[in-house]
Amino acid sequence: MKELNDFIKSPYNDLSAFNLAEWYYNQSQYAAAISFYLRVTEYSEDDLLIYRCLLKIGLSLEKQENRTYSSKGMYLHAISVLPNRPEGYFLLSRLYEMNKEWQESYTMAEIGLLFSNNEIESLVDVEYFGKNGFLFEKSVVSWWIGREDECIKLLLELNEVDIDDKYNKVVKNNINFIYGTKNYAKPIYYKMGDRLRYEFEGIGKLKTNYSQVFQDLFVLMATNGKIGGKYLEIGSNKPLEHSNTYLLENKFNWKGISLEINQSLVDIFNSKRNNECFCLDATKTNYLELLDSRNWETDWDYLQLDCEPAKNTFEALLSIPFNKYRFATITFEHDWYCDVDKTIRDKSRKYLEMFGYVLVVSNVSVDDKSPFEDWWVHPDLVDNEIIQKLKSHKDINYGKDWIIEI
Amino acid sequence: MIKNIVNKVLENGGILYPLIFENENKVNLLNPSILVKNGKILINFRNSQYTLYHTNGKFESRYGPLCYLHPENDATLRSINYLGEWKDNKIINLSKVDTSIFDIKPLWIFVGLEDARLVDWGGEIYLSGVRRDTTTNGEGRMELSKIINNQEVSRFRIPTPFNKVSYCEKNWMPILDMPFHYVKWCNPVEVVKVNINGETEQVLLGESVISSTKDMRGGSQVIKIGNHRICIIHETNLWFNSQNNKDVRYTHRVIVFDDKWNIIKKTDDFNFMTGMIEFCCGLAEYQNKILITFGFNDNAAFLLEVPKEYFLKFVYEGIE
Repeated sequence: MKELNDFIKSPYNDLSAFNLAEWYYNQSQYAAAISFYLRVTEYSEDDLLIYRCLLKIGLSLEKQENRTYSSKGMYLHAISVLPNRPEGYFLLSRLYEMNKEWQESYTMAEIGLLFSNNEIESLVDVEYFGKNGFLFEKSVVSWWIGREDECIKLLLELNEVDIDDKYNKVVKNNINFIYGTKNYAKPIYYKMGDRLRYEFEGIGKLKTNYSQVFQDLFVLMATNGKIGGKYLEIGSNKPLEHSNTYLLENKFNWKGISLEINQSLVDIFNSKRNNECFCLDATKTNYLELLDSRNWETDWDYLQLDCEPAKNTFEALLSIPFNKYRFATITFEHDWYCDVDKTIRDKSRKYLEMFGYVLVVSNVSVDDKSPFEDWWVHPDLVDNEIIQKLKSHKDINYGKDWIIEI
Repeated sequence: MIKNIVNKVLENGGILYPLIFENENKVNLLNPSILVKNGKILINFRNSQYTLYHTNGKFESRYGPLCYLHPENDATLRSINYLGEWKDNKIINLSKVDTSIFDIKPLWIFVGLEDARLVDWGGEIYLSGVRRDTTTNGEGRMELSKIINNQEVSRFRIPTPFNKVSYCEKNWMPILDMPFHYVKWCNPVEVVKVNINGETEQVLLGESVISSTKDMRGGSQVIKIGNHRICIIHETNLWFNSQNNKDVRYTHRVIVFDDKWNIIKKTDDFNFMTGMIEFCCGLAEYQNKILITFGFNDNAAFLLEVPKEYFLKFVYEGIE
């Protein structure tokens, strides 16, 4: 065996000891590997090689399981040798995370990120996979230290980059977990591909969406993936999670105006998004003034109406200057399932039909018994062929099923 | 002192084999033993759930420069044994030695039979090593376990011949051509006979003491080559490390006895591969080769195949 014979010939040579250690490591013989890696640290003067061996000792101990304290010690040794490299911080962050030491993990990831863009060649054999490794660790531990928004944002970002399958699976599981626990619909990657109802232009660049039941994809389908569209969002709530407009803004460069009555949500929105959100009461807003203030053309692409309770949404609907402005798509939340009088849905339908809008998806629901929203298009602004593809003949439409229904 | 004797052996036609296999503890193979029986080469491994971390460099473990890294939820240091065959330069028919019939709840940190030598006495296979888990103070005694089809079918904890309260008896070297006899100590030579279920008899105590600065501690089995009995012993060099803890480096010698148990040859001391703690508990003659098994730093196991001619030259004439 070459590695062994080379070591026997030169037992104090750091590279021969390293190669033998690697041989054992690759055979999953971690105790033997540790002995020879350790030997490198004793006889080598090459700091990078020593650093690498200390990381490998830590990894060997991890693979032997239940030697966390010792592994941490090895990673700390490694960092002390080359504190400007990222790999040690990553392994330490990962180990802290696995050990449920969330704050420590987060901190190590933050420090590691400082060095992750260094123009140095990464060590590929120590399970480090670049900046995304730190983002991954942060996405996991931020959840546990009260940073839910950051967690979701990181998960959604990671879902759009190429990372190792093992980590990718965790990202997807976590997204599913987070959305699932809140009875959110699953993100778009759940089932897509050629089963999508209408493959609009630009669909290929998407790996996820943000709406609760695919409203954002409905709008993109109707406008055939329009770039640079315009929206009015009444009742924006959170800027990313469940947002019907984040995907439009982020991936399709849409401009728009959002309204939200809750000031703290408005502040969060404006800190996370480029398009503006105003803290306004949707039932008392002068929409004509608001829309006119933009000096944009009078045909817009999307109107979201989603206030609480549904009568407020209807009141806002009545304030929209439909005589001057047209919208290619409208999502109107009538909350029929919880509307005590069961009147808002029918009134809103009659009202929108008066202005020539066509109901294409009725009674959108997160399940088969909670219809809460209607989706509309304006036939002058949406291609008729697309309208026919989007049109559902079901009374209640579970968003997840609608999006792939033929 | 001869450093890295393995290199000299390889330069003279020998071969070194790393001994590895997947094992239950997924951690560590050390201190193998070897035995030729009916043309087959049997090989036994000690498999521990801890890793020896031993450095005199800059990077001590969090427990110091010399420590056993055991699972953090299990502070014991456990050993089990695997027995198999060595054939065509491969380990075959390997399985864990089943000790369940005689195992009782361990009372000490070190658990299991350690550094077991393979023995063929009267056609039966035995493992003989030290066990320290039967009392709360870690008292060590040699044990002799009969093995049939990798099942331990009998276990005998060997009493000391005189000092009954001796703390730790280990590394007695079984004499393969004299059933139930061991070289208990080398300088002066002390040979004992074990009576199963009875007392241990001292059958010989040498009169002469060789001039030596170090204790000559047991190692391999004692095997007969020609008219002489030969074994490999180890010596310990003790000092105190940076944490003022006792630290150690082992060296080895081949010892030759005549038929009256006089030591007639003692090689220069040597190490195998320049490790700090190497340990040999296997020695066998097979065809025209001498087979030596040893552990490296308690973390790796090797089989060294030495041309017999070169081995005898080393033992009787010495090498540069």
